[in-house]
Amino acid sequence: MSLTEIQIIIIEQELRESGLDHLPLFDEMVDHICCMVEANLNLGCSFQEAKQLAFEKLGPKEINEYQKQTDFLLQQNKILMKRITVAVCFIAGACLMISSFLYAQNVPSIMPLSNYEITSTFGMRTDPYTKEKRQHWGIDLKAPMGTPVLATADGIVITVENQPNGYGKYVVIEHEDNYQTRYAQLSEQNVAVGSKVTKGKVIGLVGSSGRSTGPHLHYEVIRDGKRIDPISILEDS
Amino acid sequence: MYYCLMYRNEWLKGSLKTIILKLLSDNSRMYGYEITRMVEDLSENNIQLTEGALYPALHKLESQGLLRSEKVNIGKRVRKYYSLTTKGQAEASKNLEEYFGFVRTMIVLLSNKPATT
Ligand SMILES: [Zn+2]
Repeated sequence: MSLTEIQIIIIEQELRESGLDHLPLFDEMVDHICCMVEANLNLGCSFQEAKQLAFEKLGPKEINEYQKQTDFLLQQNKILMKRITVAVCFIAGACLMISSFLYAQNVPSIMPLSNYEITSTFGMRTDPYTKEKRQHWGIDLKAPMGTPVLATADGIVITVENQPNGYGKYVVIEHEDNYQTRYAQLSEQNVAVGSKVTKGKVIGLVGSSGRSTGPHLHYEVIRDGKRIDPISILEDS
Repeated sequence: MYYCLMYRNEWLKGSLKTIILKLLSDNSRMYGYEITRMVEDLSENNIQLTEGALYPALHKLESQGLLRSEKVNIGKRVRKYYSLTTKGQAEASKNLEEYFGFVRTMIVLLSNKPATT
């Protein structure tokens, strides 16, 4: 039994939400899960059951392991490049000072709002919509509608999109050292793809677009393609 | 429902390369899911490869030049097929022979009792 286009899209969507969307192996994973779902359909399951079983088998632990392994593969090339960079810096002592200054500007080490209340942290939590347990890939900062959202490091805007069933209006900025930051659930996006931003620049306004229960900023930090706890790299922590 | 692995993960980890190379030397090309199913069948459901182990292993073998891959569009899906390179074929037979040798040695090692003098 072959899956319909819509069913494939549903599976892709769910896989994205599991946090695998940025991997170059995404297509391969989609095919794998589709095969599992088809096998379950052939056993007489409904699509919903078949999909649930497939994802249960995959499980968060599997996804994590998969991510860890592939991140490692992806980094092998980068490590060599980094080694060369490090060697050069050691030769020129002054280089160290410059790079530490750049680090401060390039690493998202500040909060994207000047006033906020953390309403949800990074990690496992119960989804406010579906009541299911799932990983929360960022932090939620409650703030009044229209509060300015600041870029947390120097960088270039790579995405300005609207995802009504997910992030809502969101912006992604690419920084050096393989960092990206994502600002979601905005009411307004004040930058365009390709624009250069500096740390502290206003890039949009707090809103409640997408899957949101009220005005807040959903903020994510992505390092080497993997989402990490934004709190862990704050300047003062 | 699915059950967890019957064998310890660390044993499987050391055998994964051998399994992949052997299956691909018997079948001209295979995709990831196909490999997991065949391993389940051939091992009479005693071994279930996890995706988290299989795909990174495939990619690693490809980067080592032992496997090559081709992408085939199936409707809206993209399927990635793996096959052995010439280098991979040579490695497959060498690896299998060594593995059997290792297993035989392990059996001898673990079933013999030290001689008492
Ligand atoms: Zn959130």
